[in-house]
Amino acid sequence: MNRRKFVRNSLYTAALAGVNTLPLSALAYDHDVVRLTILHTNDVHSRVEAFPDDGSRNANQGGASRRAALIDSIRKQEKNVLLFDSGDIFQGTPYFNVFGGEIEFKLMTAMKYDAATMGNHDFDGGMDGFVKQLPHADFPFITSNYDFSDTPIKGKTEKYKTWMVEDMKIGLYGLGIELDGLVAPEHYGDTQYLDPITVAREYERMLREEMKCDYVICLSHLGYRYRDDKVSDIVLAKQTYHTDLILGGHTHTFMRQPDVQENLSGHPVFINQAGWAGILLGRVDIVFERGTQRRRMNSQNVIVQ
Amino acid sequence: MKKLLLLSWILIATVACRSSYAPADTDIENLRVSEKAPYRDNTIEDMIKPYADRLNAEMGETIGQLSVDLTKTKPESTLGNWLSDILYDELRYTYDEDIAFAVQNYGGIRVPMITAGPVTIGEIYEIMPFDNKVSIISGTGAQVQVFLDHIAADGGWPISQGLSLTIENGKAVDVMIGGEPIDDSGTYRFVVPDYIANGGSGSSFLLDYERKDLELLIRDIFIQHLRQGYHEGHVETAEIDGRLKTKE
Repeated sequence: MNRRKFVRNSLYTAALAGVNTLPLSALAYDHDVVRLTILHTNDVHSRVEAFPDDGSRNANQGGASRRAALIDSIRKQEKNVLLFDSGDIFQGTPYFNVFGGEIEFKLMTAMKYDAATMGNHDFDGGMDGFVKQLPHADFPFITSNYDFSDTPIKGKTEKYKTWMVEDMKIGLYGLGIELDGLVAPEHYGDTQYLDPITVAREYERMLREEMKCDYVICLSHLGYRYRDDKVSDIVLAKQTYHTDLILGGHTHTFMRQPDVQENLSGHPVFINQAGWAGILLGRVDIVFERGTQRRRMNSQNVIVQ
Repeated sequence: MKKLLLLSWILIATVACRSSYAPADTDIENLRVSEKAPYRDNTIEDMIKPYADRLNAEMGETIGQLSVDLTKTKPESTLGNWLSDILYDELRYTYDEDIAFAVQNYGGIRVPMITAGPVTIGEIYEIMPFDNKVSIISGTGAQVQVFLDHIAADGGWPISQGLSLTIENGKAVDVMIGGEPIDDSGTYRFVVPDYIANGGSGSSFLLDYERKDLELLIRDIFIQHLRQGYHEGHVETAEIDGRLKTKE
């Protein structure tokens, strides 16, 4: 635990302890602090078991059992935990070829994932294949820029979702990558791909201004960055107004430290991605303060480990 | 009036601020899920077990023996050569197709390496999890050159024997097919995964080429090839032979 975390912890504890001794009115502000821990994975690619112990680069890494235990230990320490996945749950080991994604969804349900978005490989069993496995997923898929109106997935994903964390509101939308050229046409059928930036601006504005969310998250399968000007998490961060955090995927990026970009409102947007195959579990700890202004890019305390 | 408006604005802004939260500190790290994690989750392991047992029964069969580690890199790699040559040989000898060469897309090979020793069906599924089928494309030398330039611009994809080329400034030069320099007016048949024939990985120009599709999974071709060789006592290997070079 670094020093700042320790300091924030103390502050939080003090505010909690105050409940017993101080009248409610004295708690209204000054010490109103909420801690939120967001855990996330991406591109797990049916890696149900750890990589085999065969001397290869990823030997013994990952595995649902260890991931679940790690998540569980964090849930025991932290009061407010949300768990997300940024897509490409399917494809990569025979578990998918033989069982079609059933065990992947069951494991994520057991780990209590709060939401996921769809990656291009989540179409690999076709849309009927995806729909067939959905009963095993007791968590919602948030896909804001795929229009599934004329497909079997119609009505089975959500455009956005909000959560109350204590008296704070968290909003989330999800962005998928363009499927043309990436997924066999028969597998995505009449899915309409909508421009991610346009859709992001629509949902972030709605979440912040209409739904009054204190924090806006994007679950993205666009990819971290590209050499050309293809839309990516970095492009998204710079071209939006209200998104606070982008949890990415697709490019299998092992980020040593999170990226921070300035958005169109002058606020920082954090971008993280956790490699692939469940080798990493991303952890985002945020301390919220009530009644403070959203920090400008240059005044945000950014701690990079 | 203006002053009053301004005052109410400030009031509204203040009230709005007080009722909402803003992030003060953000701390992000990626935790490693490795064998160093001293714990496991029994509930999860119990859930996996019946699936793992069924998979091991289906996927655990050893179907080959490999003499060296094979890795995937650009432009040429041992894993890429191995897979492309198997596809090339099987199409010619088992399926009697008159083809000049075979190509795999780089992204279709999903593991960075496979280690020496026994090879199981499960490993072949991990190398090639996609249900890609065989497509045979026919084109003139000029059309083939367009495809090879596309491969060169992407840094090189796995190609089989029968084809060699040098990548220079993102173009394919010194192209040899069947030991002869490529002939713009000649006609060539070659094998690609249907994913590529359908325009995947930026190959949409191939949609205009003449094409024949076989109802044959590329993965099944590997499994069949390996299993047969294994039963005959054959040990698999592959090496870099200079079929794909880069000129600076």
